[in-house]
Amino acid sequence: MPVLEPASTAQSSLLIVSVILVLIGLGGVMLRRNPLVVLMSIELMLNAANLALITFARMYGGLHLEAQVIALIIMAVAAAEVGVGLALVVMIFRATPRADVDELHELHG
Amino acid sequence: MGWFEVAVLFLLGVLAIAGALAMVLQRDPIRAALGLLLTMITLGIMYLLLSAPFVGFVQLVVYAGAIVVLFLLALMNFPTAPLLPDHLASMRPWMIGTIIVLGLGLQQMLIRFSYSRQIHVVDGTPEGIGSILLGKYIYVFQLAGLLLLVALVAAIYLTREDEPAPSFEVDPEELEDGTHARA
Repeated sequence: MPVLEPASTAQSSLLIVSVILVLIGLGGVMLRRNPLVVLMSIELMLNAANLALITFARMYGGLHLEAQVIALIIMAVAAAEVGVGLALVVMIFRATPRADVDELHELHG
Repeated sequence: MGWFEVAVLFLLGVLAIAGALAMVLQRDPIRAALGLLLTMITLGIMYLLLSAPFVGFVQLVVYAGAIVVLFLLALMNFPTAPLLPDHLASMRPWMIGTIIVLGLGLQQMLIRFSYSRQIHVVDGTPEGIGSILLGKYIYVFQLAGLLLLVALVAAIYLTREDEPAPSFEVDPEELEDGTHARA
């Protein structure tokens, strides 16, 4: 049974930074109405997850780099998401010049 | 970590949060994108200090270099939306309540996880990451590549120049001539 000891303050506070970034991103997704800013907020939340992963890799990973590999894959997924998301936003701006995510309900059944 | 690294990490954390706040609070979407850029760059430098140099540089190239520039390009193509009356204003307290509840939950999780073993840490060099990514995680790697390809095709398809929408109605005159109606 390995002895656990409190992580260094720097690492704990990095996790706190990650939590704060997730919450700011969530606030952006819910409170902002420009679709581009909503996309940026989603990116911010993915980045916060990456920061937590890298911090955990530093805290627990030791000789294993799996967490960093997962962070890289998250980056690839985020890039794909931005590609499709921006294409959708371009279409939204073409369809309605005053794009507002709260007003878009054409797909509402 | 020495005191210097800790101080730099602290400063970077403050900058990252400031950039994120600027992104959410700025009315101007271009300034929001620049706030996001600040956060991306500081996170990349943090990764360098957290013994993840490869991920750090990829972060700088992909996020700060490519994704934020994509956002700025999309922003400059379209006039910014005028400010509108708020339709969801009555929902605001619920949204903020959700954020607070999630924050409390994540904080509990942090308390549970913030113990660490004293371990020897290796740096995430391209060699080490590549041997895992192309070894144990080869199928995930391939799937990520496939996902990027599909996203590329989808983005091109969605943003193509508007052709007349294909009509599936049958033109009676063409049918009388014996020719097939265009799909």
